[in-house]
Amino acid sequence: MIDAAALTEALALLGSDWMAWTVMPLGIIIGLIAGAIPGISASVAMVLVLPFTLYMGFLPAILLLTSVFTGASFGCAVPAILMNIPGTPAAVATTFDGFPMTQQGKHNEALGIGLISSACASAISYIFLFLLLVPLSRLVLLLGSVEMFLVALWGLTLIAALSGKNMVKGLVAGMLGLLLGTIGMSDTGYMRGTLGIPMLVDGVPEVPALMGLFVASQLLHSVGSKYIVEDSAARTISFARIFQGIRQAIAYPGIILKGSVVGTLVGVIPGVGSSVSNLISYSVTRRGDKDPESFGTGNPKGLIAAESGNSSSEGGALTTLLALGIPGGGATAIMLSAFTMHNVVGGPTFINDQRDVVYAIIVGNFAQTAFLILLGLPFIYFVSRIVRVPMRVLIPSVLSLCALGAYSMTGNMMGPYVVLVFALLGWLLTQFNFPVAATVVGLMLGRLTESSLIRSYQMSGGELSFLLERPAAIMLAVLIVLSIAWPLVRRLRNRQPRQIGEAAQEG
Amino acid sequence: MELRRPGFRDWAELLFTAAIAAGCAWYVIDTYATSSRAKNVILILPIGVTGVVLAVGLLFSKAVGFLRGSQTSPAAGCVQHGKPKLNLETLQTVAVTALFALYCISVDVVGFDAATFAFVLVSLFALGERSKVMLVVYPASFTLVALKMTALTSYDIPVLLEVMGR
Repeated sequence: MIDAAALTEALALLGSDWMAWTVMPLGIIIGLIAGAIPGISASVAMVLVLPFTLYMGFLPAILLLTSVFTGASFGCAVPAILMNIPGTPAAVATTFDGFPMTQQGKHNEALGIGLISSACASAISYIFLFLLLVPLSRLVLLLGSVEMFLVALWGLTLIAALSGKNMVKGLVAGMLGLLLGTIGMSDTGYMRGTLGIPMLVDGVPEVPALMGLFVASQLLHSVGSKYIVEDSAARTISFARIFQGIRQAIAYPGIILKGSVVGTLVGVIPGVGSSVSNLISYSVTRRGDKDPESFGTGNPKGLIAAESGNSSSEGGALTTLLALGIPGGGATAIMLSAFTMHNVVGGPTFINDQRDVVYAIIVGNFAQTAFLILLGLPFIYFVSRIVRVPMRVLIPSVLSLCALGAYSMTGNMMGPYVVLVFALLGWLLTQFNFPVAATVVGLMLGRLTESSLIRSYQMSGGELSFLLERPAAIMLAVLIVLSIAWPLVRRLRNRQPRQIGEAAQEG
Repeated sequence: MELRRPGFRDWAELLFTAAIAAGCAWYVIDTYATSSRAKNVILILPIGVTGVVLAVGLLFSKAVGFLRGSQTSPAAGCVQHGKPKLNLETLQTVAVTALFALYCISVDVVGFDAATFAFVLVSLFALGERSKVMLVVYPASFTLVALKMTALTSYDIPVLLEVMGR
């Protein structure tokens, strides 16, 4: 399975290329900063550094891009935790427990948890890539629209979990989000719900809508507060507490491993990626926990699950790129551009003929996780000062950053208008106890769910027996049913002895 | 026995839920009118119809709640929902929302730089900032930094001079 000779050559390659070791910390810093600024995602940062890779060798070029990606995978968690701003869809689940932890004065611990979960999950996904590159690439070839639909459905089951006590309101909010996500021209050429507005043809822009639903509505809700963290004694910034958070995350290796497996497998599927993996990882962990009601109120396990889910999808996405030459999303598409610029074609031939380079990329990514921890620690120490900024300064600043960031994403006024409309929608949903998070999940998964369902329907001709011909789909369906049913069964079994015990006491 | 009248908040929630139901219904009709073929309605039709049914169910249960409340609650325990209190926090929320709306609309007219400066300045004042130094220095420096950051992106951000030149 592991080619020892190629591994030795890879280590020699890395050891002799000083540029590779120079670009990695630089890329991590660029990624951390870019990910932390709403509106500037990993893809944007990678596009900005892409021209510089032309003057480098292939290995340092790829390592620069992957380190920007690694840095941004954690960087987007920083505003999600501190200000409830998911800078990218990959950080949506991070806000569910990350921001409540900040509001409780545990921002240091939350950032420490996010950092180490991100780093560990990233490393684990690269272990999978290292050991299982060829089998994983064969798995990708088995996956199609049916499997993508099932993965999207798995993500949608989170809506029920986010509904809390009022299931009906949760379902209404989730369905509203699903419908909003399908606005515009469908994959089959039908125009729906655009109200004659040309800018809606491509649908509702996702990140501006997220900014509006989460950020702006949260800020409007916080108008009466003086600070994010009300208790002045809790507004400390402390390395000791950051390390406490790191120790807290390490105490749950099972959750990090579970998130890493989910993230890697979902990341392998082209077109799905970290925006879905963080939701599925969160959902699976929540369902399997003894106290699922505590999720969403500042439970560290929720934050660990979300961050490990989104960061590990990088390894999965790189599998598809290296083994098949297929980009899974925006970031890997930019990496593919770097391949082209250096006259390299990804795929089975690349893996067979240049295995030492493949191993060098993987080993280099292990080194990136170490750089992420080393550089991430001072970064989060610095940015966590935001909890000391009064809300009267933070509210207009963040709102205008949202508008600017939204404009940067769409290139026209559509972005800021979407932020405004969804801010009002999010505020109203919160006022009347509809879970905003359920709408967000529906919005993020609406288009993917519909397009994969349509393709599945077209391929199957409407025959359900088509599912039986797809072992990967059956496996996924079984996994979904197990992930929903098993925690329920376990809870029922635990309740029965308790009820018997209580009945015996009363007798 | 006094009748329990629904308050302002109750009516607002009813209106919002009705708006969701109406919106879902309109979207389903619009989609169906575009094409009734399965590849167009396969997801939207079932989700939309279910959403409308659930939202109408919520409306119905709220209405029944009002009727039950009016029939069973004794006068002594009756809660009178009066007009909502307009406290400072509510006024500030409305002000910031209106200012943000104005900010988004004015960007295309005066440019991001002027609009951001004005929005941050007026919002700071509306939210209680009274230091003159803060009211002038912070909006100016924030606008400069924010515009520098967005220079990293692919699109040109419209600024006052550019808008005036159109």
